[in-house]
Amino acid sequence: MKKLFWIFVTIAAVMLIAGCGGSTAKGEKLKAGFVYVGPVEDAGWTKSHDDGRLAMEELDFVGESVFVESVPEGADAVRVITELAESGCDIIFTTSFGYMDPTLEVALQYPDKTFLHATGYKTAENYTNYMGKMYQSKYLAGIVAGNMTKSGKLGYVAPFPIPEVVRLINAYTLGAQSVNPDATVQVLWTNSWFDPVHEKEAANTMIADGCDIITQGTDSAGPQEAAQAAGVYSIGYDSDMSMFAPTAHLTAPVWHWGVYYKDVATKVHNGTWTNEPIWWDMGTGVTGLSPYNEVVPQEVRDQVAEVKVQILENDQIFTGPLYDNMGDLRVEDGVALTDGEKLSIQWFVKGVKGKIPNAK
Amino acid sequence: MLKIKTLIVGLLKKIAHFFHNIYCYFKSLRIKLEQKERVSKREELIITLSAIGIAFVLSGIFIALNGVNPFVALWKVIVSALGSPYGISETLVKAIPLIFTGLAVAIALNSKLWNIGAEGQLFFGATLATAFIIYGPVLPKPLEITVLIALGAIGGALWAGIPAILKIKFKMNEVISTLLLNYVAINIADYFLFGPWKGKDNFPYTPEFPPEAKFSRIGFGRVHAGLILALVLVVLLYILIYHTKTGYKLRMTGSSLKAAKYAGINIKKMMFMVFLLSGALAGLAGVSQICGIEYKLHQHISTGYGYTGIIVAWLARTNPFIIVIFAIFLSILLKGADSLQIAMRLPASVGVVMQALILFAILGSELFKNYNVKLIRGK
Amino acid sequence: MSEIKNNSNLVLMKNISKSFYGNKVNTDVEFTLEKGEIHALLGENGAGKTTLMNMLTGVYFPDDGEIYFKGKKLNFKFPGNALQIGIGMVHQRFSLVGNLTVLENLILGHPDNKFVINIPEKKKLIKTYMDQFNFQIDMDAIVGELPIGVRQKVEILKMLVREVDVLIVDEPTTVLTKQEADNLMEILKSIAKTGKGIIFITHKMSEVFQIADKITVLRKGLKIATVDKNDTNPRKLAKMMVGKESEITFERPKVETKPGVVKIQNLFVNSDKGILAVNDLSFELAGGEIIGIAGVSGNGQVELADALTGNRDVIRGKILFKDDDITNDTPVKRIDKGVSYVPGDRIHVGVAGNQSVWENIIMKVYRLPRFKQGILLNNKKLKEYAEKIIKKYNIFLPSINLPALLLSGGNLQKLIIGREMERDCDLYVFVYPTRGLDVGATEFVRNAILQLRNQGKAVILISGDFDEIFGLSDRIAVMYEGNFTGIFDNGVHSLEEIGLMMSGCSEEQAVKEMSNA
Repeated sequence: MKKLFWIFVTIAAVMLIAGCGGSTAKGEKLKAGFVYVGPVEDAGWTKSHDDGRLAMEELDFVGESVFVESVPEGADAVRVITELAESGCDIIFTTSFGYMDPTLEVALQYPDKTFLHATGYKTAENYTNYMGKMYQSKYLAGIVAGNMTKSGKLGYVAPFPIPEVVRLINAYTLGAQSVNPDATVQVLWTNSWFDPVHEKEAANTMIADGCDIITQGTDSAGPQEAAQAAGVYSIGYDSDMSMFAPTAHLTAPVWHWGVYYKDVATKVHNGTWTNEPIWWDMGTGVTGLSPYNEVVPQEVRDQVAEVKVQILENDQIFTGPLYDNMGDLRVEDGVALTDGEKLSIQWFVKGVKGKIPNAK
Repeated sequence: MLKIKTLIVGLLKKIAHFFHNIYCYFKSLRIKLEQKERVSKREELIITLSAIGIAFVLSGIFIALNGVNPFVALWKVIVSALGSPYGISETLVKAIPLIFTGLAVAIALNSKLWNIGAEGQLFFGATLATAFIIYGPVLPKPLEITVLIALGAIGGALWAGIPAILKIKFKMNEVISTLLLNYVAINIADYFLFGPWKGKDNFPYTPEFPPEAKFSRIGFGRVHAGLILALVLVVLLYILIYHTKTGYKLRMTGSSLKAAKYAGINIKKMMFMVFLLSGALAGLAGVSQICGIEYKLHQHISTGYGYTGIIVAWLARTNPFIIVIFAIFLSILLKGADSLQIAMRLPASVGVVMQALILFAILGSELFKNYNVKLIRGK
Repeated sequence: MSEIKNNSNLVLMKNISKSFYGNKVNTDVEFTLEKGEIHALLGENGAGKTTLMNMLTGVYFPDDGEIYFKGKKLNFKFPGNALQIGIGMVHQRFSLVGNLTVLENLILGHPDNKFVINIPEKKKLIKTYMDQFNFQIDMDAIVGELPIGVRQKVEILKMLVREVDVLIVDEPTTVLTKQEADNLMEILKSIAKTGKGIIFITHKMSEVFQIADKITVLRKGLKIATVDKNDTNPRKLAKMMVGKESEITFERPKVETKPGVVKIQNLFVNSDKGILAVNDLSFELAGGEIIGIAGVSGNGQVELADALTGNRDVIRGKILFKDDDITNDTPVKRIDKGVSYVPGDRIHVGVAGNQSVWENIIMKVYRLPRFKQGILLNNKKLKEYAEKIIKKYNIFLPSINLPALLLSGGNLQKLIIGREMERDCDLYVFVYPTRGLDVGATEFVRNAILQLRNQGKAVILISGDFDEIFGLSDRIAVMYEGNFTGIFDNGVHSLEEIGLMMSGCSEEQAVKEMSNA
């Protein structure tokens, strides 16, 4: 027994020496906190936000930033957000839809701090939501896919049947059909944002079904790896996923959250921040395409560049005539969907093979 | 020059010799195992606490490898959990479901039955209660809450009744059946969340419950009446186990099936009852979560409370009051992991690793309960 | 590492002692096994045979004494090491995996296994063993689908494939038909011829003479003798097994009997293994009478007791108790009607070992209204009741909260008997009531049994102790393979005659054999 005791004491002493002290607080600078739904290594959504966080940290009036990863979207989130506020964060970003109400709850208790929620729609005095017009980049990715597909069958691994996801699927489909009118997009739901195994399986299912380009609305690199292994092309999402699929990965519509995060930090610092909801378009640089694979021909790249200029001048992606995938005319010729309609879209355009469960 | 060289060579030789001696010492050690016939309560407690201690030391090493002083980390965890009224209230909030699931698993374990299905029973109880909120009338609050609690318990009991029947009628191992039914229960909840009950914004959660269906807060942070329900149940279970005929039968059945049968106890009936009771308690965890804190049904009403309950029960074993202590202990750990991310920049996996280490240490300590382990020197 | 003189000794066990909870299970036992020898280990259940072999295979360590294997002193690190060095034991419960094939079972966990297993090569190897010892088993059959006799052969083959030098078989024929048993014996003989040593644990006399070269008889944990087969006969062995006739006589005053308290009619009961253990048994028992049931254990005595007390289902036949048909009553109903049972397995059946003494004393009375307090149990009253019994029956213990398994064998039996006597039943069933007890406790138990008889209770006494059978019984029945080979008044037959009946002779045969001798 005595020997054991001394072994414990020795280990404890070693730990005391080995571990370094806690971090010291900095001066009057801004401190930012981030709440992530997945692990920072997810290579997708959470990674893109973390890249943005690091970009923001480069501003000299931003002292430090902390994050909490893999936070469940429920009562636990309230506690985590509160702890961030208590630990001295001036700006708190919560980056998943499920944090909308928890963030609001905490925001009301800390009126002198700024709370920002990605993908939601609620606001308060010190709380607003932010998002980028990813559908524009998805449309461009659709053009690449429409050019590169041989079978005309595209596969899309999708998370939840929510308007955000439906809108992106539609834009991707419309982009592909703009160069390849017969192109179809097969959709498989995983009902999860981050589930590498399930996503991989879904991709493999669609590849077996004849889809020769796989893309995704989910956050893991699973579908990319599936495409790489099966020898078909893929288009990533959230961040550049080419390292998971060096030859398959054509490009990826990606988030550059740093653009927005720097802007918010600056405005909060200068006292010019307002609670106006943000839905930035591609021109701000918050979304875009990642570098192309060398197999994408120059003509395609030129075509994409041309369309990009058109979209920035006049976004006509969701302008009629648009039919849904049941064959009904949804948008009359020449009519454009309003932002509100885009934000609540719950139908698939013609050419999408898939169902939105219990669409209301 | 030569002198220094010989000195160094000599020193190296000495060091090599030293390590060789250590190597030989460990090589000559032998572990002797002999089956143990019994273990006293005191010994059991010491073994359990040592296991937790070892898990902490290993966690400490893991934390140190992340470049953080483990003592500072431990201090942060304790301060964040117990250092302020807010911390204490949040610790209690997270302990509530763990008390329920801990009791659920423990009562089954008392009768040597493994309920790995508390997670599923939690979800099924919550789903059944939610169904009443969505489809049923809104009753006056006391009545509404009573109905919801009853439905949660019934839901959990129903879900535990399936493996109970499979075990008693068809001798199917309850570990497998309860575990697999978890996935079924969660998928049933998902069906409703993605289908008929999904929110106006098309996200998978129900609308917020009416005020009648919400547990009152007890005036201490977010701590809700679920805590009172849990503590009342702890007392009731204590009385049931130690002061009633049924409890006596439970104890005998758990201690020895053969002796219980000899004493005239209907073992199958007891097993069935234990399963139902266990499921009902887990179902209550579900109701307590949706009515006490989440105020809606969604996919994340449980962050694995059914599984963490297994650890709680395994640590606390027979006594319901000790369940409360270990539920709070694990709540501190789970919560502490989040605080460590903020305060020490440790990855989220630290919490998971610590939990896993405790579980492994506890399971490993079973060896010491079943065998006399002797370290001897020589052949 | 000390060498021993005789190198042909495969196994030498010297002065082995082992006790559990202060009960001596083996005392100073010596045992040797030589190459090519089949050595029968004969003795009653509880004589210490299995414990002795468990020490040879490293499951337990002896408290005292030394074990040598092939001249080297054994020092096990883990249970299971035994197999690695060449000692294999085929237990009564097989350790085969039911849903794997025979081949898979044979190579599972084999120490020669590489990461990749060359199946055809293994098949060839196993085939050579099968040919050598004349096994006929389909290697691709699923083990769970094989008849029990074949499964046992797979067990033995598994040991051969692992190249054991010593093969221990624990009562291998209990689950076999006569034909299968004969076949097994032939196989064991051919294995012994290759120089391996075989230890054959049994309590069946006929098998001993069929197979063994040498026989060691154990009784109450002591080695009685090791004899050569040719130097002995069944009668001598039977006497060694059961012990000497006692000098002590108990006073059995004449009491008025009440005939027909228990009537058993054409009873059939299965054992745990699903084979017939009680076979068409009928007898009657009067109040104020003790019927002693003698027999080698495993002949259906325990199953009979279980069936009488509701702890085992009856297949066919009737049990009448005070002219009430209780054949299908639950145990609890029989408890209420006045059937009392003192089981042979005190520690696992008689009490719930981890529960406290007082909880075990109230086992059969806690349901009574006088111990109720509203919906709760009146624990105070129950404890008082327990205290009363502890005092009355002189149970020695520091605290009534002590777990029952910490009691010594004698105190535990006092607890059980006190609990049962206090209930005032009309039928008492005792199974091996004094096994493992010291002299004082034994006397207490025997006096208690007599006292019950004198009070006019019907008593069934199942025992392997002839002092007990002869000393207490009014009538004696000898049980063999599920039925009585004889039932007679105490004093009619000698110990030798009863010994012969125990190994299957009928009453007349036994008498004839003895008069010839």
